[in-house]
Amino acid sequence: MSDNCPSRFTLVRFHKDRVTDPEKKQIASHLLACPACPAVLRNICDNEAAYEAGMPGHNERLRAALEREPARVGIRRHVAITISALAAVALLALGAGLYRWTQRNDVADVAFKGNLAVKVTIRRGDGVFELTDGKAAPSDAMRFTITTAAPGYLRVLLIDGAGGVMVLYPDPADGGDWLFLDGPGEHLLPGSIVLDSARSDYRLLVALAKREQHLDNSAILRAADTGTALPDDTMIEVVSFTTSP
Amino acid sequence: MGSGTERISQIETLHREYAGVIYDLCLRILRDRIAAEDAVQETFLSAFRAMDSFTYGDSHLPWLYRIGTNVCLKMLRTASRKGAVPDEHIEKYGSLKPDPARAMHARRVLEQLSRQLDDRSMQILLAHFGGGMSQEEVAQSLGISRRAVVKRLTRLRAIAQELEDADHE
Ligand SMILES: [Zn+2]
Repeated sequence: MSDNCPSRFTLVRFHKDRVTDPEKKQIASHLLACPACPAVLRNICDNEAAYEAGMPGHNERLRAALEREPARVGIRRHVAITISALAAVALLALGAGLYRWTQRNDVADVAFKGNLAVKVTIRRGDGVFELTDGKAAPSDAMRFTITTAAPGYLRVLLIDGAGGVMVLYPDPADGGDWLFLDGPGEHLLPGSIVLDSARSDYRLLVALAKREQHLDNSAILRAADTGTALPDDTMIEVVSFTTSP
Repeated sequence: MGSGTERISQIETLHREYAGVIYDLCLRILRDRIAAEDAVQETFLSAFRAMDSFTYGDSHLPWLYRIGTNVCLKMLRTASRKGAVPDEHIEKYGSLKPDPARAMHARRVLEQLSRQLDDRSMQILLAHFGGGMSQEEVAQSLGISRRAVVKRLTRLRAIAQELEDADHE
């Protein structure tokens, strides 16, 4: 492979017809001239074929696993990259943007105890206001500001009226169990959440742990319901609200 | 979003379309056919759970690569804790010149690294070497700047070189 060769991922996109027309032309003529790339493309196809050879079985296995998945609350998540200019201003105003995504840092074992505060900000139409009366509408875009006295590891769960549990943060697509907040102060969490269902009662459970420990969602839920303590002074804050059109 | 059944059929459609190339990704990281098949299944299950994080207008392929990379990272970490995968299972699929010894070495290196490096560094490394993404593609897929990718890869240059050698010699 030379520096002019397309990346393997680009060849995958080419193979799956996920390239623009100019890109397609360019890659096709590169393949005719390059001594290395055709073999890479062939290798991609061979590996694909190897998986697809077991396809009816793979499909059935996936279907069975999907059917075991619990029903979920419908939400639309807008990722941080798409935040509006308005939200960006709010972010600056809050002096936030402190999170880092590296999750393996050691958190100083000092000043962990203290308050954990959660603020829910709602954008409805052109207006932005704080959720204070526990009443939201289904099309509201919600953002969350977490105030902590120390750095820590955060998980935010949303529980709907039927008991469905959904992880809002960290973004499930990123993997990992916790979102690292790298300092004390206010943290405006990335992106916003829009709830789909017309009418429901919700609880937002915000857990802040001192270290990246193994903690099931059910343990957080239980602690919120019964007031039992979680290991390592892990703090929980609960915000309840109702949506109705 | 749609109903449960709709969501299931959306994921099944994605699985039919892209599972083969996600398998290519997982095989290049895990170097084990059975483990790679498991990783593909887990990727589409995770995609189902994360469907809400998929932004309309984004392309599915980088999104699935991102999830697949994270699934493989989790599996590397689990294996490194258990000392799992027997050496004879690790093969050099997904590379051009089969060489089981080198494949085993690459897998072991990744397992060790997965214990030592933070998530972001591992995601960058796996997307670059497993997913065969250019620096620009890694940056786009992870939603970070190309500079951040270059910086981490530079820091990991010695390791990166070793992986690259394992892949090409
Ligand atoms: Zn080439």
